[in-house]
This record gives sequence, structure tokens and C-alpha cells, in this order.
Amino acid sequence: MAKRQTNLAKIVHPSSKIQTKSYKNMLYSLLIFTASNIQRTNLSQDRLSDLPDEILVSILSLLKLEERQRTSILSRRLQPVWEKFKCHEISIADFRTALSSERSEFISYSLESLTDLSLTNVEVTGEVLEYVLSNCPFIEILHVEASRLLALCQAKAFKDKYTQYLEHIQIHAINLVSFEYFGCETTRILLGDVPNFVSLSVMGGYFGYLFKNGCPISHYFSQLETLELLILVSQKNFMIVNYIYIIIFLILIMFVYKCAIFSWFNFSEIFEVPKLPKLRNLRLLKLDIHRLSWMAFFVALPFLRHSLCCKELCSSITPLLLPCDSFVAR
Amino acid sequence: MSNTSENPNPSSSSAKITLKTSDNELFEVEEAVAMKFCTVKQYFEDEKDNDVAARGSSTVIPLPNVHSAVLARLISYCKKLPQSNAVADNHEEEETKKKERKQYGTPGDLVDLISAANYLDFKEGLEFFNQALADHIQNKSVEYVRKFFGIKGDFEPHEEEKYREEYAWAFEGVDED
Repeated sequence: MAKRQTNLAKIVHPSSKIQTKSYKNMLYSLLIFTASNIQRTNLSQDRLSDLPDEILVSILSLLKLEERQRTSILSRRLQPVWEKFKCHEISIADFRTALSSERSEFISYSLESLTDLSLTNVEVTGEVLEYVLSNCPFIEILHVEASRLLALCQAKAFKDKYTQYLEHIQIHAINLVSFEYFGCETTRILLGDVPNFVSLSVMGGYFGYLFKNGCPISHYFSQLETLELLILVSQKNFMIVNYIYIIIFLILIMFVYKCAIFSWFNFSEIFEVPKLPKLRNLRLLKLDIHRLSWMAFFVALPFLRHSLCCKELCSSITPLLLPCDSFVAR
Repeated sequence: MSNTSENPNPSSSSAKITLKTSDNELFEVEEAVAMKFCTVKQYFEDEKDNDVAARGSSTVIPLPNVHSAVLARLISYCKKLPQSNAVADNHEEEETKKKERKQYGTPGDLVDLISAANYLDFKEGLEFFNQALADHIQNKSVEYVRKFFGIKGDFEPHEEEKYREEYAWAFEGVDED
């Protein structure tokens, strides 16, 4: 609650506020300030309405939806305050109530200026998201976490985490810039026309699917500027022996980068590592490999070969006994 | 105005700052407390820049918009601030906090405290008193809130009735007055 308030309560120094107001208002606020001390014993006076709008809004933000609605009938002075109320954060309870039709009209006041929406443990359906998006013209970031239902979205950035049972994600958003996904490979992800899409972040099981033929996301590889991959390899594969591969891995990186001498030796065919489309525009490649093993090693290699124009490569391998666990090439 | 005692060591944490309220009363408060009021802090720092050790801690900072009674309460609130501003994590704590907030009593007082906290740019205080005020609106009927805060309902009866019908869900589950 405290956090919400800090967002809302834009505390304005009275003297600085006066400058922005009209002359009439200026006189009015001066009158209030001088009068407030004289009249302070007179309790029957309506003092609440004298408070500046910023304060009234922050008080309203502490109330429940119903109460806020009730306050707008208190007086004509207090009604416009609510109309002006730009909501930065809506509680889930509010959100749920917003979905019942009689209240949805009301909550749309608050949604108008929303730029960042995070839904955690909410069973969002495509319908709900569509509703939100059609009512939030300024939404920039939509974050869905631990949801089990279908999602359809058109925000600039879409973050999705732990959607284990998600079957289908369809994104039609011309302005989509970044997409983050942490989920399993059974999910089908479809991106529509996304000319500005430059940043992809994939974690978990979906990684495996990403490089299989026919994965729709791979069409966008050529336009990607940032690619982040978190590769998780199960712990049983991790043995002391693997440290040998770490060393080989590092040597190979040197080779691949310096002279591409290994191009004749096609790892992809031998180890069934899928072919990658060229990552022509890639500027930043982040590989985060947990528990380096055979698999991670050969998975990572094609990236190094195919993103030679990559300006920065960040790779962290955990755990790693070597002195440097992250390095930047070029 | 000149009856403030000379502090031999102004930079120590026990340095005092003198505040002058709208009714010309002087308050000598600890620097740590005074610095919670951003307006005072700003004034104090400006003053420091202009006129370093000339007057030191004996500078009187005028607060023309704050009444002495209000400032006294704000300062007393300030002194017990650390424990009262933490976020309550269970129901019981929330209840004790509610009681604590109730001590600040009448709506007129609260509005004064809020205006003063706003003027002084005293964030924690503003949050606390806003919550105290919100407590008085929570679960209360429109009539109660109007009476409590002395708000005059200036809607036409038919307008009000229409509104109540339209948003009937907002008028359910109200406490007894």
C-alpha cells in the first residue's frame, strides 16, 4: 500500500503549484492557506474539500473500489477528483471486479493511462487480455506470470514466465519490441507482423524447440539484435568430466572467432544440433548456461558460428571453476 | 526570536533548529527531526550555502503556513516515526496501527496535519495521515462521511438517486454509523 501511494502522491510544494494555476485559483489557494489557521477550531466547516487534488487523489487511492466510487457522490467538489484519478496500480481485486460487466465501464477510467500491467497467478483468458488491451491505449509492458490459459497480446513488450500449461500464444502487435518467454516446448508461439521486434529472451524447455524446423519464432532471427538464452541442463548430466569440455569449449570459441577453421567440420549434422538462420543483426548475445555439459556445449557452438557479426557476447557458465565466468568478445 | 541557546557544536547530531510557526511561536527541534521536513531541509541547506558559520544553528526558519498546535503534533509524530511507519504484515499489527491512527482524532485536525505535512513536504507523515483519513471513510456510508467531514451534499435529490441506482454495488455492505 505504501508503494502505491508513493506512485500516486505527487507532493507539490504549495508555492510552486501556485505558478501553474490560474490567477483565480492562486487567490483561492492563498485564501485557504491564510484562512485555515484562523478557522481551524471551526470543525463543522468542510475542510476536506479544501485539500489540494493531489492529496485527495492519494487518499482515494488508499480506499477500496467501492469506497472510491461512493466518494464521488459526496459533493460536486469531490466528484471531478475521481475523474482525474490516474491510476498507476490496480489491485487484483479491482481487476477481477472490473471484469464483471456492470463495473467495467467504471474501471476504464483507471485503465486509460495504464502503461505497465503485471498479472501474476491470474487466470487470464484471451478475452480478458483483449479487454485490457482495447482499454489501455498506452500499455507498454504486459507481464503474465503463472497463468494457465490462452494469451493474445499487442503490447510493446511481452513477458511471460512459468506458463506451463499454455497451449498457444498468439501475438499481433506491430509495435512489439521485446518478447520474453519461460516455458515448455509444447506451447506454440505465433508472432504476427512485428517489424520492430529486436529482442528475444528464451528460458527453459522452449529453447529446444526454438531451433527445430518450423518453429515460427525462427523466422525473426534475422532481425534480432539481442538474444538471450538461458539453457538449463539437468543436474545428473553434470560431472567432473565436464570441466574438460569447458576447456575445449573455450579453445573452440577462440578458433571460431579467429579463423572459422572449423567450418568444414559440421557439428550440426553429427550431433543433431539444428541449423540456424544467420543472426545478421545480432549485437548482443547472452548465453547463460547452467551446468555445462555435452549438450550445452554443442548447443552453444552453432551460435558462435552464426553470429560472427555479434558485437558483444556475454556468456556465463555456472558453476565454473575457471577464473573468468563471463567474457566479452569483440 | 533571539532566545535560542547557542549550541557549541552545530555539526553534532544533537544540533537544534528553530522553527517559527504562523502564530509566532518558536520550536526548537533536533536536526534529525527537522530534516524529515523536506521544505525545512531545503531552506536550511540554502541558508547554509549563503551564510555558513555566521549564525550556525541559531537560524530561525519561518513556517507561515503551519500553526503551532499542528507543528507540535507533527513533531511528536516524527519522534516515534520508526516503528509506526513499517508496513504491517499481519492482521493484528494492522489493528494496532488503526488504533494508533485513530488517536489523531477529529477530521479538522487530520486535514490540518495533512496540509501541514504537504507544505513541509514530509512524506512519511503525509502517508500516515492520509491513511488515517482514509480509515474514516472506509466502510462508512455517504451520510456519515458527509457529517464527519462537514461536507455539504450539493447534488439534486434525483441526481443522487439516479447515481445510487446506477452504482448500487458501491453502496452495499456499509457499516452502521
